[in-house]
Amino acid sequence: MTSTVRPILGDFMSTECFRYLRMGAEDIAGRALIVAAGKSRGHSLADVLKGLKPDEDAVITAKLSGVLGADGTRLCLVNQIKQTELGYEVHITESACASGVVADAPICAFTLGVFIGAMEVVTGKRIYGQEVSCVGFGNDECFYNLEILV
Amino acid sequence: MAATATRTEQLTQVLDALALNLGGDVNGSAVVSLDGIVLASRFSGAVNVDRLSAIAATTLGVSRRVAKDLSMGVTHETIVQCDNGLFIVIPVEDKCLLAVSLRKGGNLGMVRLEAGDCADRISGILG
Repeated sequence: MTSTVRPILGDFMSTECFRYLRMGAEDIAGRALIVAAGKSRGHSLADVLKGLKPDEDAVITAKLSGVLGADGTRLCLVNQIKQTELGYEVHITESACASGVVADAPICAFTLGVFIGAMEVVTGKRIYGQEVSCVGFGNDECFYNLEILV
Repeated sequence: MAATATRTEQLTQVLDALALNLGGDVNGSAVVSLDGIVLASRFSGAVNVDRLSAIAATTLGVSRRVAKDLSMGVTHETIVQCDNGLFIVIPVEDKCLLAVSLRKGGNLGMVRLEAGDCADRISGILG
């Protein structure tokens, strides 16, 4: 997709500017604002995720990898989405949220929100998510636990 | 033997008890994670609960920033007072928050008392 508003710069910008936007907003208002924005983005993927069954882990991973990864908007590399007893595990690397950040707690609020929103689309149910590990926190990958609320 | 209530069902029971104990003062209520995810809700279908929950958590987040920047200590509640009612956000330890919409003229003192009991029960459910 080529932007008509940005014919030279195109649709991408640096994670540095993204970081200031995200962390500046989070500093003033907390994480919920950022998670909500991420959820909204996840919900916007309804067309991509249409028709997927909740237990098609590999297909869901491939679809989200395509739209969010190197050939998509480059939010992160989606390595694995795995169904669990309560919901899903999400394993990613190169998250834009963790880029250039050293934190004392997980800091992928936007990316977490995207996967919550996307999996709400797939399951048709409300989902609660927690960051278990984060590259910005010194871990090898960002790992989210998503729980389907029943 | 009756099936064990899910966590969402248990939280919803707490909200039902809150509404029952406060008579008609409560328009709606929700238990929300600090990330703004609704864990249980008793708002009418006309309310976008997902959106309201994110707003409630953000309201608490802003309140905590105010308290921190002004060195005012711990935030115990945030109240939005409007022409036709009150919106109250009460943190439940560092686990989640309780959001309550109160009709105009509702008894704020009673809400505070009942909400405190609710918060204890919610904390117990979430462990």
